[in-house]
Amino acid sequence: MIENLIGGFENALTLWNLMFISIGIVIGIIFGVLPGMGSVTAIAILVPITFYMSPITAIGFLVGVNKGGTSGGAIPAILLNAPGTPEAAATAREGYPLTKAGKPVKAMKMSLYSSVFGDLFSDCVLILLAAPFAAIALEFGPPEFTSIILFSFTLIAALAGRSLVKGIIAAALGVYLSTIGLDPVDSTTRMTFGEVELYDGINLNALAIGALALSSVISQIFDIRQSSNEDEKVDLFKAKSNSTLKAAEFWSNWRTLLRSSFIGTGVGMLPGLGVSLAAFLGYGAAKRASKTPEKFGTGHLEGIAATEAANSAVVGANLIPTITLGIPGNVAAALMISAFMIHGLVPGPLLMVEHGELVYSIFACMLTANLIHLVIGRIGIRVWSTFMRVPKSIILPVVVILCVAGVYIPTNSMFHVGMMLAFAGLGYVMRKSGFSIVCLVIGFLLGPMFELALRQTMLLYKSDLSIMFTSPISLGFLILTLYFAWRFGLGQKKKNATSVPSGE
Amino acid sequence: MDKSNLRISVLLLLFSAFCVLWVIPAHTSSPESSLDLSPAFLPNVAIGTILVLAVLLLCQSLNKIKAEGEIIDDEEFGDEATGFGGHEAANLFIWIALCIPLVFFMKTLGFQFVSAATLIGLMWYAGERRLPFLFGIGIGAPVTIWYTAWHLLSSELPVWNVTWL
Repeated sequence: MIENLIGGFENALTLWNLMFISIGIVIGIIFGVLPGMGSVTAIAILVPITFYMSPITAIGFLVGVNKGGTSGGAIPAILLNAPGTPEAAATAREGYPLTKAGKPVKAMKMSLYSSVFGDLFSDCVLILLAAPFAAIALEFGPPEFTSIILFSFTLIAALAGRSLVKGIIAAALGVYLSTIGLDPVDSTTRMTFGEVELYDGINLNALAIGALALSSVISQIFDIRQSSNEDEKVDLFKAKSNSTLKAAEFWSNWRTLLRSSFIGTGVGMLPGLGVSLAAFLGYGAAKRASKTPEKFGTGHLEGIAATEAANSAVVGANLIPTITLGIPGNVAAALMISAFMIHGLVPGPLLMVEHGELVYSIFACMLTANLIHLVIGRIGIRVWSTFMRVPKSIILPVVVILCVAGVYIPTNSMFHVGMMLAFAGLGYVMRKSGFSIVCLVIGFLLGPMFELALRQTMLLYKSDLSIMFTSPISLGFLILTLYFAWRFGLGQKKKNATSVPSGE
Repeated sequence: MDKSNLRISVLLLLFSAFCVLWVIPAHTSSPESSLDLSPAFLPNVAIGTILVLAVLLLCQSLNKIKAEGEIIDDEEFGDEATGFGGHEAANLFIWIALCIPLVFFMKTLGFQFVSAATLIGLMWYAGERRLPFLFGIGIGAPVTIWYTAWHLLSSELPVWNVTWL
């Protein structure tokens, strides 16, 4: 394997490949920053261009776009509390308070380094363990997926804040909204009111960008109007300590980085779970395991590390089922399959046998892309942070228009733009009332996955759900679900008991 | 915040009752297989959860108002969670009043014109008074976005629909 990898590096490290990987990363970051766009849109637009490239260059270019796009969403999340992609929502929780405290550069550095760490981790797993992990992934069927997703619902308790009731209401609303559209099994319409645009359900981008990003932007615009001290310009370069991220500060989160990278790799390996789920799982797990969970949500670097390492680890891990089984892990991986096929490569068990040298060259490109990502991202931080010098009265309205364009471009539909604007209003109400928008998004993500997995289980096993207790993987996750539900219930009781009314 | 919780919980109660009593029964079909869950199963579970918890929130708010206890600060939004009162409702109304013409007119007048008007309006609302910036960015940004989308992404944002005239 080492020899193959060295051979791969020989093929990958050409000026042409390095140039295209760099261009890919830059394009990916830009798409990640723009609300509603993201790496999937970028890859979809750029796949046809790769027809004119060699296979190694093409895949290296697209991998760069994917890596850049995943980490790019964190930039507006940190600077403006307006995540460019749904998976950056948890980053906004920690990053924006750091920006308000005058440390946006520190937050962006943490985000970048954690992304690169997660990426590197999952790339190494991909290279070393692709085949055996693919075999394990085949053991996961509908009962196992049902248990995993049920376990993921316990995240809500970690992310709901002090009011678990409000968190569960928000998540339940998200689940309800996710059921609008065609029934996943019967394909009958559900609450579409005859509107064809709703047959595919509510667009995730419209909900996430509207409720998370746009609601924050309009809330800030209203606050500027009300307080008229709009130029709370943060002097980024005033105190050097505010922009320095010491090595000790970064590496003190090594447990979180490893844990989140494991989670992201695990989620990425399983088709259909998605980058956003990995980000929230990583964040929730970090908060649960932390000795100072009360610091989460106040500008805690560990929270940024958890989210970014997890969501970036999905990128490499997604290619495990893609390359070894020909089963795309998510939409981005599905688009990558089309890029493979453009170049006459058929992903699947025979790819490594028939085109082993090429596959290892692609692995080498992925490892190289991490280093280039680090360099480009580091340079970019200075560029992005200059945006903070622009008054909010200018930048926030521009973000509104970018959100409109960002949702319209992939869907070509004003209906979805209207949905986004409606969710922005809903998000505003939720912000002011103290309901967790992150829980809304989690419910929206998990609802359809849970329903499909459960109904598939019922159909496959003729309504006999005992399979969920007899399958070891499923049983393991059910036990974890009960354990964390009990632990959170206990923790919530203690929290409410120790909360003392502050002043009369 | 407790009065805000009271209002919100009443709204949630009305919304969930409306969904349970009319929206879900009228707009979902029966299951096609006896082995499968009904399509209305998950929506009913979700809305039922909201209904029950809205009642709980209502009771909690009433108890707190009665006991004149202090609110627990929201952890996710910190000082942003000021409660939903008249001022916030007015802001929401302004947002709705902006969005309806934005969506309606963008289909006919096109992205550049409507976005420019929206951007200038929003910047003015947010306190920007320097006319060169207002009109420069207000017109330049939508035009740049439109041309970038077309030339780089081969995607056409809504254009002026001449036939409407």
